[in-house]
Amino acid sequence: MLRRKTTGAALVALATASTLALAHSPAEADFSPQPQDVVSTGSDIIQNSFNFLADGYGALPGYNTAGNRYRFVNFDSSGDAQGRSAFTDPRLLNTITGNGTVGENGVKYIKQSDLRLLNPAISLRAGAPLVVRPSGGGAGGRDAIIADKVDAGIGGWIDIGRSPNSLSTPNQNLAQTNLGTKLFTVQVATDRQLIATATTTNAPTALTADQIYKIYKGEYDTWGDIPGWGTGTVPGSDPAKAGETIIPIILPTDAGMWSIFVTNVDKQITSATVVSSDLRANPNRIEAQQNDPTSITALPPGQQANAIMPFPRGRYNLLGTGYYTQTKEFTGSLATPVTNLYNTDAGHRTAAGNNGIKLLDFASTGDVADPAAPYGGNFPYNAFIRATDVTSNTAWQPGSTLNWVEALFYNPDPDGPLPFVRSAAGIALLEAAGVTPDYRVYDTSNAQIFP
Amino acid sequence: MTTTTAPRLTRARLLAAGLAVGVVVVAVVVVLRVTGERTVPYEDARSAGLLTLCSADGKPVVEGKVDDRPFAAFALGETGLPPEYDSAGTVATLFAYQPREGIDAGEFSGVPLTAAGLVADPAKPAVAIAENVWSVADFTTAFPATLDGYVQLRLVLGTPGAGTLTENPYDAADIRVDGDSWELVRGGSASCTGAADLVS
Repeated sequence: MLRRKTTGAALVALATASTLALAHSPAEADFSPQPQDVVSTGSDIIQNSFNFLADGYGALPGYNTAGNRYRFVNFDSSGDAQGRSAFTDPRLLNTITGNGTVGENGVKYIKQSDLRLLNPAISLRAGAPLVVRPSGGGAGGRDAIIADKVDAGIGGWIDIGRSPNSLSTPNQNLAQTNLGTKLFTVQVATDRQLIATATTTNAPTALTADQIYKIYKGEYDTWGDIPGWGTGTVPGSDPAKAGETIIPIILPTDAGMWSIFVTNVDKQITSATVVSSDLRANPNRIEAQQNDPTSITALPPGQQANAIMPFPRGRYNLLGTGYYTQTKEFTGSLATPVTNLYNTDAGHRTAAGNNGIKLLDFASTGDVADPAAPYGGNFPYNAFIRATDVTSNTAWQPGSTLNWVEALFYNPDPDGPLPFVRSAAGIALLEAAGVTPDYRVYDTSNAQIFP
Repeated sequence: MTTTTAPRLTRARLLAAGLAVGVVVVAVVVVLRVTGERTVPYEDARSAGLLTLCSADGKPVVEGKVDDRPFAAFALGETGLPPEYDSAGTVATLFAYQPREGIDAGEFSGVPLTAAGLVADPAKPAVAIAENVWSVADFTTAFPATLDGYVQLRLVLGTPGAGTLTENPYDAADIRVDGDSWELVRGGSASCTGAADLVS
């Protein structure tokens, strides 16, 4: 990896300091849903749009804004509303002391491999004992609802699994075994993963899937390794930058956006099967947090201009609205952590925008299974819902005839009232979340039944 | 001759009286329907003013079919954004609620019908009702009008900074569903001329 060896340990310490506040401050005293509230868990990339659907955003009302008795409760993936990972307390780890040859003399270091992701706990229902927060679209969305059987008083608390994944036949069979019912999939929107660069970049106008594959695989280390660089074959390529080293930013293997990246590259590279390890082979790679512009903008200027990373367009758009906030971890230290004092210190709430990065082939829409096409891949914002909830005769809100699925996600009656996610208010919220409203329904055999 | 003129006068007076009664009856019916002399069987303490429903061609809408989509083109309020809020980006959203016997208006179930729409003048809130908005029949399918057919409409304001101002007073209208028709029982009488200019 390109990280300078002499500063590697220091960066580990810095990174751990940045997570310290998260490790200590995810109080997890979230709102605890009442029995008839509808609970959603799972994907971090989808959590914002579902939060908007539930509670609104800015002047846009969400479902709960109407003040109904029972609520749509959407739990964040990691305990951080911005989707960042939390880690166990690094102060509890063993240290070694640098000697000036390895590390700074007299400075204590910890091993990166000793760090552990925090398993933040959560109360999924009021009065219920705590469980580990279902996290991510796979484990916390799809797998969590499939496993949501009642076992010794635990479980039966998740109504919706959020996930960019699709359900397989084995998934459905396991749901039948565990839950006594299979699952419907309701897609509410489509997002698209593209390649992000610094605003001022040496990258060309677009990078094809084949170029991305070979960069991440380590076949192309410099821009000049790309055939046709500096000619019209590679639009936007500058011959003067041919010798610059490309910095491919990779994401943690458990990051949802990494899975999407591997899947999308594999779809476009039709001549080979692409797996995760193929895309982690470039010696100049840097691993960084997913969906975070500072993964590029915090790099030294020389690296920024050569950095590329997979990035979801929905997050880029939402960043542009000022929804996210900057945080102050990096201004503090392990000994003296700094946090944003709510409504007190100057700049306590400074929007974290998308300044400093851009997306290549930004306006693209459809997927092209062609290695020569620019890299880009759509992924769905899915809600997995029990079939028994779809057909339930139990009305949800007082006075209503609709069950909660009909009210929120899917009304099987083609002449009946549209569910909230298809209403004018719901569509406005999805658009505000930066994604494209795109409504589809799949039945328990995973066959598309709408539209 | 008095014996011949008296009956003519009487008939004329009777005709005049009949016409007068008729005019009064029509007027009363109009007044009942537009200004709400009919007693709406609930009160809403947070209803600050009345909503006027308008058609796309600038006419008041006081009745319609439950399947009409949209059931009106615009809803106009009469209560502006309170001055303590930054008026930049003021929006209005039309909600519908289900009155229920013995339930306080604050506990009615309901939904936002429209998306939040920018208003041209925060002192004259209004929202456009698009064709994809629930019809009256959609609403009463989801929330049956069990209290003598009534449905309450509310126009709730919002701003980007303050969110949707559900705790503030709002303007409301009460419509009554009867079979496949609905009528406005309690609503405003704002001019619908130029209603389209009130929404951005």
